[in-house]
Amino acid sequence: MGGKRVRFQVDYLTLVLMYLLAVISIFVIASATRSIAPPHDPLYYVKRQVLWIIVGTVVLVMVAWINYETFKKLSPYIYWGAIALLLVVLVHGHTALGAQRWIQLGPFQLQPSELAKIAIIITLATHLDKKKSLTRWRDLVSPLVHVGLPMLLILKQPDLGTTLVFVAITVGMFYMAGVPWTKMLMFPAGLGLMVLWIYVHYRFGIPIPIMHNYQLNRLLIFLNPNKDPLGAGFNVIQSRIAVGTGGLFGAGLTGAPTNLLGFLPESYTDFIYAAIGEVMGFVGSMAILLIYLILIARAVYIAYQAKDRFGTLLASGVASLIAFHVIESAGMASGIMPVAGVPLPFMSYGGSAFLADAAGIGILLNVYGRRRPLNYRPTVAKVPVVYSNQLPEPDALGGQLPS
Amino acid sequence: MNDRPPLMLKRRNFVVLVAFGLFDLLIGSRLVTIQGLASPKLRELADDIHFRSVPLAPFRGNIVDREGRLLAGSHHAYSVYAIPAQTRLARQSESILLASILNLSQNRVLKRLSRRQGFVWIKRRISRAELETLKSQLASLPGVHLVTETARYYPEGELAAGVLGFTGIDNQGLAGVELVYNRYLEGKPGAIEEEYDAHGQTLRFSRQRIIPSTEGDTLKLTLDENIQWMAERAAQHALLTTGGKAVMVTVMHPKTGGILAMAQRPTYNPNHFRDYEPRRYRVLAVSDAIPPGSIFKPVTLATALEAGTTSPNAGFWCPGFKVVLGRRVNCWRPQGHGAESLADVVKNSCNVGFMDLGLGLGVDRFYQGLETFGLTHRTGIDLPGEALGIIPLKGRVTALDLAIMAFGQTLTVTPIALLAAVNAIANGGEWMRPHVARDILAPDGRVVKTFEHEMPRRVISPRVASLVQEMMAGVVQYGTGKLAQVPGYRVAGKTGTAQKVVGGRVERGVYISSFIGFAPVPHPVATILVSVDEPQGAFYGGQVAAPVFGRLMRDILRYWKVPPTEPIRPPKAGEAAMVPDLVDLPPEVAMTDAALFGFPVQFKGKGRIVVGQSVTYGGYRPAGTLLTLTLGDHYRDYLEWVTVPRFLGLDVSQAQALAFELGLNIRVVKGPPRGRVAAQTHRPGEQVKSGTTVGVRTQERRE
Repeated sequence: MGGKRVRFQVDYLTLVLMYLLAVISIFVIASATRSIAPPHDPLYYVKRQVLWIIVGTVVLVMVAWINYETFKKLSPYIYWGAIALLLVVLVHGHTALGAQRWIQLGPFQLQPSELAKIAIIITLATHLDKKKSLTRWRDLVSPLVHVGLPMLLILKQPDLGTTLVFVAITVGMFYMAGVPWTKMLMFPAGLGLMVLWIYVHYRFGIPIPIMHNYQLNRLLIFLNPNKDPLGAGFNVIQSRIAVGTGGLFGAGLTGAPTNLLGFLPESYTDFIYAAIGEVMGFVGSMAILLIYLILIARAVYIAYQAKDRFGTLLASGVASLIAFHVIESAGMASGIMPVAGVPLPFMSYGGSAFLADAAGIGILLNVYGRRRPLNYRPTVAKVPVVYSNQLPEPDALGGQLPS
Repeated sequence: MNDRPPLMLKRRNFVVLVAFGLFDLLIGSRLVTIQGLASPKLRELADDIHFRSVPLAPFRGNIVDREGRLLAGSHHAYSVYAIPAQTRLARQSESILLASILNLSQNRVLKRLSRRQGFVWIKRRISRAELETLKSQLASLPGVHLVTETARYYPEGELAAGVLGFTGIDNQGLAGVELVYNRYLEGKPGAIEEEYDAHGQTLRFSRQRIIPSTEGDTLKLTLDENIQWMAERAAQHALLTTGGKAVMVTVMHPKTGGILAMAQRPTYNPNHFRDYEPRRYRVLAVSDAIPPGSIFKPVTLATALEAGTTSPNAGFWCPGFKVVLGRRVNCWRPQGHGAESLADVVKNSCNVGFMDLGLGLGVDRFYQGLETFGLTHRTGIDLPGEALGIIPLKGRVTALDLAIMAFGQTLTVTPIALLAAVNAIANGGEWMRPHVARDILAPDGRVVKTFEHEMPRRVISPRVASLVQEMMAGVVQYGTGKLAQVPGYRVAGKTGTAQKVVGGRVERGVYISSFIGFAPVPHPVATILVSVDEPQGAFYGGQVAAPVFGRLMRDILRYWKVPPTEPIRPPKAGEAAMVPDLVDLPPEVAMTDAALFGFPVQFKGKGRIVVGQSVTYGGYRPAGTLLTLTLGDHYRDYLEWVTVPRFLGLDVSQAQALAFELGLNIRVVKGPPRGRVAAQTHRPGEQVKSGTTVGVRTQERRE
């Protein structure tokens, strides 16, 4: 590249926040899975999650290590690789809960849609970085198509939650890429159109393509969970009960008998925020939100500090990813958002999600580590130490000699 | 390389952060509502969902008689329930095992185990044998549990069945005082609450809460167990000797209005109330309005005396009939009674005389009398299903109706209402509300509530009451009710022979024979009404009901050791005298009794009591005739020889009903308790003593 050699700086704050969340999650998962774990191994889920945290750490280090400039070159492979995986899932996937989301890999299941999130951050950043202008409508067509293809494949699984995550990533990156306000309004307009369509669907019976009825029910049940307390509203009600039993300080992370007792399905995955509410109470729940706030603030700061536009876009993609996950997952558990299956980053049980989120943190570290140098910091170049009396070849010094 | 982020980026960063921060606040405010304000309610809701409760039945309060003797108690019983969710793994095999232990159909057990319910009963109140087997197998029956319940039992069987009533499977009162006072008797149920997870499994660290049950209060009745037994025996005897369809014997305490005994035949055993037709559960004295006939006459008499339309000195003339509004109404004695005083009219039960009394009163005063004697309203007795007699509308009553009503036809009254009315005469003119409950006692014996505090209601003056008492005493001493005499006591009473009205017409040859009376005059201790429905053969109240009354009254007076009120003058030798009832008495008492009536006795055989007498009760012999009394050890069981019928092919309940009609008992020796009779231990046609138990073998009904 011929750029300045900058010492790689690790962003310890981000790392600390992430592992703090991961460690807390282990206790919460242990508590939430107590009644559903196999009797011979009450820590079954905890052990697997710890394994995922370790594997995730490896992925994180790998992603942070490679200079993110390399992502640009790999972008097409990443994009089409992700598309291919999503196609495999559709053709030959593992069906669970009425959706094809997983590929069986030995004892583990891979969820390509989670990895696709990271893929789309990297490739969309590459794509937008190449664009000279983003101010006209026709400038926005190709990025939208770029995101639209994998999104449709995921919607086909069907996986509404992840689809919405894609939208959130697109919004966040478009926004940070500098798409003008007027153009950004298309997203709220699209949302308004959907709400209108749903209204029309109920009022006049006009069908909605792609969407399944259950998805629609889940979307709307948060408005009135008691309409179907044992069906679509069950999770919403149980979630509210679980959160409510937490009170101010909760039942405690360890030992205290939990009220979840398996009544709240998915209390260790998508609805883990409800479990957090129960075992940690109001104080704990708010503390977790605060940690996420700091983490996202840090991600936004990293986006701002990035040495180039590509770095900014990568970091903002990761920030939108985490932010939307938190908003949706915590929001639905506390009953202010419609139910759409989205895990809470670093806390929900699940390998693919943790790997994807860890990769996201890896990207943040990567961008932060290679940020533009601060003015007051002296540029430090690596000077090879010469032990012999032979002069080094000029190439070995990267074309620069110490002055 | 040089594309530094534009300045705009800084602003947009800020907007993003603020947006996310606002969202955090939104969630936070939501958490404040859920975790702060609604938390206690949600916690309760969570407990509701997580706890499953198994009911803990309370101990139902006892029912005791006025002396505290147990009439209805409770004992512990085991019941089997299942938590279907816990039987998931081996439902099929568990249902087979359970069905074989508990003698149930496997299909039914399986169906119960498969219900989507938190809790199902498998079998209530299992037998001891079933309990033992089940206990040994319980380990191999996950999800099947035992719980202690209480079950009602009536130690005296059929005694006072109508008054006591019975309870259902959940110990809820269904009839009699069990129903009326259920609120006091039932107690408060408790529960065992245990925590379960969403799959219905007990948790390894589950919490358990036990809410203890509260014992019910004890109900103390006005009944006296001994008097009740006497009444039951009298009723049974009357049923067997008269061949009547039904017999009803009710004893009331004049001073308080408390019912001392209430017996009826046919009756039922509340321990197995399901084996009887529901018709049997009715308390006849309360739920059936009957034409009273002549036993109504004391009411007419008292009303007329109280109104002053007649006097003890008034004279009457009975030619054997009276023409009212062009219709000829006969006296019961076709040749007439001739010239009579008022006392004679009562003594002879002369219908013509009473028609004169009624017509003399007039409609207004007669109806006023009915009203004061409480015959136009329900008495308010604390037994379920009290009926109200039918009395013709006052505005449409003709002189003919009035004349006939005066001797107790045309109108109907419930026996209990009439008993209460006559009781008012016995009580010196004060009406008392009939009742069976005396006190409610807390489990510790404290009186919680007492029912005997109601003020008496004056109906007639004491002078009129004692006049009527005297005239009724004349009925027993010289008139139609001689068989009701009790030596040594002045007994007052009135016989009655009512014609039954069937389908709106007076039926010929079908009667209700009755007797109402009290003793000893002038301070009675008991008022008794005996009524026999459709007696076969002799049908006059004086023949059918009076002896039943006489014997029962004698027993009660002896039981309470009431000092004799009359000097006893045995008749002179050779004079015609009535033979008393000596059966069931100890030899020495029988000897004194017989001597009072002017008969010497000799004994035959050995034993504690008299079981037979050479001349039957009620017959007339010259005084001084030697009576031979047979001694024995067993009380009169009112035995007659009966022919064993053919039970084969009948349902057990049908066979039971048939056996009861004949005075036999039936016991299922082998086979299902509700099947069809396949064999019987006594051959049809065999002669056995009534009361014999016939064993039957049953088989499943084939439909």
